[in-house]
Amino acid sequence: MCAMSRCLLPTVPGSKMSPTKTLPIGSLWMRTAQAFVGLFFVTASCYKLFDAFFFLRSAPLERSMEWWINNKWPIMGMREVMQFTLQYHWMVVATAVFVISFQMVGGLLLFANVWRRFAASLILTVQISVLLGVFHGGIGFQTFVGISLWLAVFYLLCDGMTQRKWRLLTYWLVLYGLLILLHRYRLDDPWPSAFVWQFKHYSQDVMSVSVTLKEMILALGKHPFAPYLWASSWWIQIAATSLILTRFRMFGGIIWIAILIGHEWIWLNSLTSEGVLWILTLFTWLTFEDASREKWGKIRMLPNWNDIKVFIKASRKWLNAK
Amino acid sequence: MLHSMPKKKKKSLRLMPIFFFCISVLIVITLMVPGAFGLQHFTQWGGMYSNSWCRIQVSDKNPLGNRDARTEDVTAGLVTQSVWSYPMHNRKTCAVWGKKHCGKTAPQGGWEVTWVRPFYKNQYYLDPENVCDVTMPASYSSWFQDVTD
Repeated sequence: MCAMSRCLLPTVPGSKMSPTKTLPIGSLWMRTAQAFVGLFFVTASCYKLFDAFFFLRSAPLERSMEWWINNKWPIMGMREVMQFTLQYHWMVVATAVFVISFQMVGGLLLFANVWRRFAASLILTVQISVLLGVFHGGIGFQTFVGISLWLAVFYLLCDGMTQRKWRLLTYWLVLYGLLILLHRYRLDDPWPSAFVWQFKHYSQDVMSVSVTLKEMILALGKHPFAPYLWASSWWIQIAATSLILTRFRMFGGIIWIAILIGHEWIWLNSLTSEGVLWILTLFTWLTFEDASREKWGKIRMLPNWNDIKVFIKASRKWLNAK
Repeated sequence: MLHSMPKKKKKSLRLMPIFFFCISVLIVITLMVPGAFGLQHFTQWGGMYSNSWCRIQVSDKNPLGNRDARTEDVTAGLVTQSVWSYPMHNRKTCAVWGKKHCGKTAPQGGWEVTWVRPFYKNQYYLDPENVCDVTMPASYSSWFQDVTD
């Protein structure tokens, strides 16, 4: 069955290389993206240390855990673990120290580009714990934690990356991209009618990366075509996300990251670190995809008709053998 | 030898590093340390959500000296529905956002707001000053504008 499923994973046309064969892939830009991701996790742990969990205690861990439990966010089993942890102050402190230290060490190692797999394992451990705690917290939360998981898994597999693993990672990224678009769909992003309340919030409470940019957006918002321009962003994003699965995926990725950066600039204090993590994730994907092309060529992401025929043939053979 | 090299690949190899360089520069300038380049800086680089990051206490008179002062807490982003998440201000934008409430009616009580205390990172950082009395450049009034339905 395993061999049969491999038929659906296309290889480079004309290449004798097996889809399972690993190749050393690396570039200056992959290292740059890795340094950004490392610094992001280091800063995230510093926020938790100085602002959230200790010192300033603007969002203590026990308050977050209580909020998650009251809203029934943890997955079965994790709820009991969290309730047990909350009974003892030292256990809450130990959990906070675990989250901060794993993120900080993982981030530092990624930044320094040493012990990459170990660093990824540390971040993966933390992010899995967080995911179990906020599992029922809605798509927004799941995708935010999910892209951290994606990054951790990517750096875990990076050194032994195969075409199959890369395809699965790409499908996973596209899945998150579509999930976040589904979340935004529920907030009426695709329709010009949402412009009124979204623009109201933007005008009253939100600050962009620069005041000049905000003034430009406010001026543009008065134009009759503004609601359509506003709504078009969702449609362009879904087109760009879908392009990731085609041979035009670099183009799709470039459009996607450009829109994400634009969103982040416009909604800087409202999108905050979630938007930045999306940008870093996509930057990581783009740099690896570009570097892999020198070794693998342009691999197909989706199976073609010939692959499906081979799959059906292998399925029949397997069923007959049974 | 040179003629046999694929032209398309050469072009792609030239363009992508330029693109990656531009993205890296933009990430550093606008997302990692925008404050160093005169841009707005919030919690975008690894910060955590906290819905009380910036809030204001609005009063009808100085709440520090009058026990009978009527007060209300207003959190940024909670008055209107949030498109993304609660706005995470910095000290400056929190004060400017707070100042726009001066002279208006309190969201719940309906009385006139004459005193505003911005609360940021667990402290009323401008006390004993009233934000309504703080002189700010005229251009700041456009930062957070009220939109009538």
